[in-house]
Amino acid sequence: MAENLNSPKNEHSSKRLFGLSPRNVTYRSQLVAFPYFVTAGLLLLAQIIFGLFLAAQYVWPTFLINSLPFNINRETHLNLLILWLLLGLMGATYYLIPEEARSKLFSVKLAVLQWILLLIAAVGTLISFWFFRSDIGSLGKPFTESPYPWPYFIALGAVIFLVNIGVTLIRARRWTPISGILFAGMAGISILYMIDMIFFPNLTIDFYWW
Amino acid sequence: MDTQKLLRNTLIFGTIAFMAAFIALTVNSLSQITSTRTAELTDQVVAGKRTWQFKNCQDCHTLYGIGGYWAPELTKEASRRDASFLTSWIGDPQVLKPDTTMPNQNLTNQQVLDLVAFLQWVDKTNTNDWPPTPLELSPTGTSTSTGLSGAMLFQQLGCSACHMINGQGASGPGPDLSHIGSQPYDNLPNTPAFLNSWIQDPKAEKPDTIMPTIPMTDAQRQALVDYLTSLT
Repeated sequence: MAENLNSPKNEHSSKRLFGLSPRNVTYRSQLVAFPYFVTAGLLLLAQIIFGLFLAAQYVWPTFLINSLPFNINRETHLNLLILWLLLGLMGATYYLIPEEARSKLFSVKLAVLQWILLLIAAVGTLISFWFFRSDIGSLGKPFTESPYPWPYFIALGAVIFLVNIGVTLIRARRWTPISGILFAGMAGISILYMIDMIFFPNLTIDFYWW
Repeated sequence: MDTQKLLRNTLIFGTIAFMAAFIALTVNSLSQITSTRTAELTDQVVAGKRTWQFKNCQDCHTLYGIGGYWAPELTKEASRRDASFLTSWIGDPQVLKPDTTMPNQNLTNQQVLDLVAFLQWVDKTNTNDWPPTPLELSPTGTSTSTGLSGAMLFQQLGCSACHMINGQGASGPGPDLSHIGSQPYDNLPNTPAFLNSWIQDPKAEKPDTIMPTIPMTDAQRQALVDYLTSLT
């Protein structure tokens, strides 16, 4: 069983995934990184644009102040950063792990489901910021302004990601330093993000975690 | 293969060692934090903190130096403004300063009071004298009697948020003070003695004024009075 999994031939299918040919990669399931990269790139582009507006507002405090108030602009910019970083890092991990573990991914479907969850979180966060500002509460800490329920989507996405990568590594029975560190790092990110969802009455404790 | 193993063990044990150090430091730091001032965290302060987070105030303001760096740093705000000013300002900033960039957050009265309680709690944090008190001495324009610069205090204490002097500051709601030394305002005297007691407690002189009491030392107030009476 393990031998079979470890063989590159375990994914015979030459069926295209997301319009990409599997011939260019070692494992067909690596292609699942593609939508992650595309969305990460788009969110990064948007982040840069909002960042330029922010820079302008630091210089000219009344620039666009009525259509794009500074607080909304800043939370948009920061949360685009969080989401493209998560999508980019997770996509990169999905690309690297099969090569490191010498096995296909545990589940392409889970990876796509996770991508959809994160995309919903990204779009939902932006819509909440822009159109439902006064009605929806926020976590209210730097970089995690995203209001509920979107943090649940991000947390669920992180859990699916850890399960997908974890099972891939366990089934492949091959822990390399790179895969180990990647997994530990992503687990750390997920856990620290979830700590941010807890409300601490004491501000000093907040800023310890921050 | 051996190199691979060595590399793996170094990374795994290195990570575990740093994780252990991180957890130990976390336990130690948190035990120090919770031992101080937890008792003063009343329900109202906690509710104020929820409002602070709910409305994302940190996107523009900073507390403990962390936040948006766009609007004023508020860690020690409750020492600079009295509760009545904070309450009316947070309730509707545009009433006090029509051209302010601070948006009205549509808070209930209770939420405003909670926020003020929260800011007062934060104000009492021992920050080891951070942020540093602003420089009070100016190379020019220092008051002869106190050595303090009234012109600089006018900016630092926030007077310029409502008043204007020679085109600098806000055009309202406070009157333009460019000529207050020679032209009395609103039928009130402009003598040094009156200005001194006015700044000390405006409501004692005129009960319906919206001018707040700004906390300051006697020397600072004297420097301000000297500066204002020099504006002719």
